[in-house]
Amino acid sequence: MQNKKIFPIKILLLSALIIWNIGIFSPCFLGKDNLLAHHLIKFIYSPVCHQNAERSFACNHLQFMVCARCTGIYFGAMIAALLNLLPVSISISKRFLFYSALPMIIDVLMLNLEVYQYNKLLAFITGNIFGASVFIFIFEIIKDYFLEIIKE
Amino acid sequence: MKKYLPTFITGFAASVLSIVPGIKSFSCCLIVPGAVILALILDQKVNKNSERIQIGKAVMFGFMTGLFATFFITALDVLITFITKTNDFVEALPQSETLIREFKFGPMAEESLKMMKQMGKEIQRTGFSALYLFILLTSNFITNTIFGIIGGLVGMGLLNKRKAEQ
Repeated sequence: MQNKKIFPIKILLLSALIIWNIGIFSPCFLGKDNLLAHHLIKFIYSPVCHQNAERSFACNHLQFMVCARCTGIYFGAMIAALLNLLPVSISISKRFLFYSALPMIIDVLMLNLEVYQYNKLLAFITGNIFGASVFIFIFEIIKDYFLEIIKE
Repeated sequence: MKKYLPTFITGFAASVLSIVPGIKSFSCCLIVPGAVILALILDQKVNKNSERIQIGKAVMFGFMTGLFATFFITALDVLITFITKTNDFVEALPQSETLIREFKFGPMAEESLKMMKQMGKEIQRTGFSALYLFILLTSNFITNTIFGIIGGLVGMGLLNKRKAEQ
């Protein structure tokens, strides 16, 4: 019963994340000729990422709109939103959220200490873990609020 | 307006943090949501308000923080561009040109590059481009208000939960 009431919220969040990820992966759909569109979309994502070309995936010789780590975060959030449609309730604590950020934090520290060079796949995977956890955490907050309102 | 003073303060702080190179590469999308949560906390402390935060207030605080952050980030970017007569966009243009020549992108891409080079030349000559300002303002507005609203919802949840536990 509760699932039915919060299902529209799940769909809304999933739709928003799909649109956001389509933007990130847009170099794969835009094609080589749409350079202006590529730069305009890149501007939209500029407040949320350093967009360093060396640290970003590329498609059609055009870099993605955000770096590999940010791509992982938003992609992980989208996958979590998709799995959230299943009738299974998952909740995570603040402590688990911190633990999910640890691989990312360790990776950044190792890079800054020059233990190894930037690896896009590693950044993507650590971003995935964090992004999925952040989505579940945020969804729980929104769900609790709406369920309280419905109860009242 | 006094009601949104905390959003003005934290929006300004977020804009200053976002232009510091090291901070942006580490915390990227967390700056504006963090500013919104701080604005909600500030509002509660200043008004000595212990009531639950309503969703309307959280969304408005998120939107206003994002809006103020947009104005300040754009203003700082335009000011720095005016003084230095260059920015990330201008510096990335030669790379785009090399890409087009190397991979033979086609005539449409060449036309797009011509328009971007014109914008870049204007910035290098006068330190200002109206088109660049418009694009920057629009893109910052879209992203910062969305992330601001998300930050507002998260802040509302966290602060209300903390109140319920107390």
